[in-house]
Amino acid sequence: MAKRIYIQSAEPYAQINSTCFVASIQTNQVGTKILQPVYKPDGTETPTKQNDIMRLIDGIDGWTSDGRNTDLVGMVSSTNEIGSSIDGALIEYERLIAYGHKVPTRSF
Amino acid sequence: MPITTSSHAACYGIAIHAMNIHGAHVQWTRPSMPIPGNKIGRTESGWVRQPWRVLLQHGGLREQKVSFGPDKAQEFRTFLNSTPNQMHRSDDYGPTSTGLTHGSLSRLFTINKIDNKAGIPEEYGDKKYSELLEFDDTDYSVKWVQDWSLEGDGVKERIKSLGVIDKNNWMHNPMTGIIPSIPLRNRWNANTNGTNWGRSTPSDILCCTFWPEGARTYDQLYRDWGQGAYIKFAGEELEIPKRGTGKNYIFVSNSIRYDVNQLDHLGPGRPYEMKSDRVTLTPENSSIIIHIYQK
Repeated sequence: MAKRIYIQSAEPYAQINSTCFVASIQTNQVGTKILQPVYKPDGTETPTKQNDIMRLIDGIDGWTSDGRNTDLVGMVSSTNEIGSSIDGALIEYERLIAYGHKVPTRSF
Repeated sequence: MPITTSSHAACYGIAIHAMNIHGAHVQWTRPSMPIPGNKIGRTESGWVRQPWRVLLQHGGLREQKVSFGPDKAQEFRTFLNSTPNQMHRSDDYGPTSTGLTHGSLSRLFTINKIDNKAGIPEEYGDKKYSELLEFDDTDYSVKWVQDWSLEGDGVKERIKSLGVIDKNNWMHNPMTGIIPSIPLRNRWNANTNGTNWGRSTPSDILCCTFWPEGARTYDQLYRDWGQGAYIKFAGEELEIPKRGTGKNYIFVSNSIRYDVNQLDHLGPGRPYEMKSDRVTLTPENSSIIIHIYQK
C-alpha cells in the first residue's frame, strides 16, 4: 500500500516575483524542511499564515474538470489517518484482522 | 482511567470499536492536512471526505467542540453562517446524496439553543448555526451538546416531530462522510457507576467505520452503497425491509430482538448480514439501527 505524504507545517521563505514565492514545508516523511515554489495570484500579498500557504500549494489539482473534489482531497495527516482516510480505514481493518478481532459472519 | 474496557470486531468491511467509559473522557480528532501539491478544497468550509463513520451511544450526553482557531477565522465564519440544510445537502462531497454529509444522527440529538431541546427540527433547517449552537469568537470554536436518549418522557414524540425520520422511523445518512480539517473534540462524563449526564442505561461508546471490501475510491463507495438508520423505540414493533440489490449489513447501539421463524437477538459491538427480505423487531428495547446496503 502506498504511503501517502502530507504537509505538517508550512511557512513563507522567500519572494520570487509578483506571482511566485518559496514556501518552507515539512512533511510527515522528511524530518527536515524543504523548499517548494508556490504560485499566487498576481498582485496579492505573499501569505504568512500556514493555512493560506496550503491553499495555494497547487501542483496536482485535486479537482476534476467539473469542479468536484476527488479522492486526493480527503486526506488527513499520517499520525491520525486511522479511519479518517481510505488508506487509514483499510489499515485499521487489516490491523483488527491481524490481531484476531475478525468475528465470524452472522446472518439473519 | 476513563476507558475501563474495550473490544473490537471486524467483518464485512465494518470495523467496530466498543469502549466503556467511566469518569470524564475526552477524545480528539486532529486536523486533516492536504497532500503536497494538493489543497483541501475551495469550498472554504474546511471539511474533507472520509470513509463512513459513526460514533454510536445508547443514551447519555456527548459534548462536541470544533476548534477552528484564529488561523481559520474564515472557516469559522463560514460555518456559523451556514445552515443545517446547506451542510446536510451539499453537493461538494460526492456525486450522490449518500456521501456528502455530517451524520444525520446529529440532527436528532444536538441540543439547539433556540428552544434548548434535543434535535434540530425541520423548520430550523434554514437557521444559521450561529443561532443554533454555542460559539466563542475569542478562540474561534463552536460547541454543542448532544442528548442521545431514546427513552423518557416526550422523547419519542420529540424525535418523531423533527421531520428527520419518516413514518417507518427511517432516515438517510446516519454515518458521517466528512470530517473537519480542524480539531474536533468529543467529551463524555460519567460517575464511577457508569451513569452519566442522564444516561439511563449505561453502555459502550461504539466507534464504527465502513469501507467496502475491494473498493478504492469514494466514487465507488457513493455509487455502489447506501446507508440509513432506523430509530427503534421501546414498546413498538419495527419492520425492516431488505434494501438495494445486494448485500445488507446491520449494526445496532443496543440489543434488540427479532422474529424471523424464531426469536433471536442482535447485540451491539458487531455487524450482521441481513438475508431475510423483511424482519420484524419485537417491542422491547430501543436502539439505533444502522443499515448499510449495496444499491
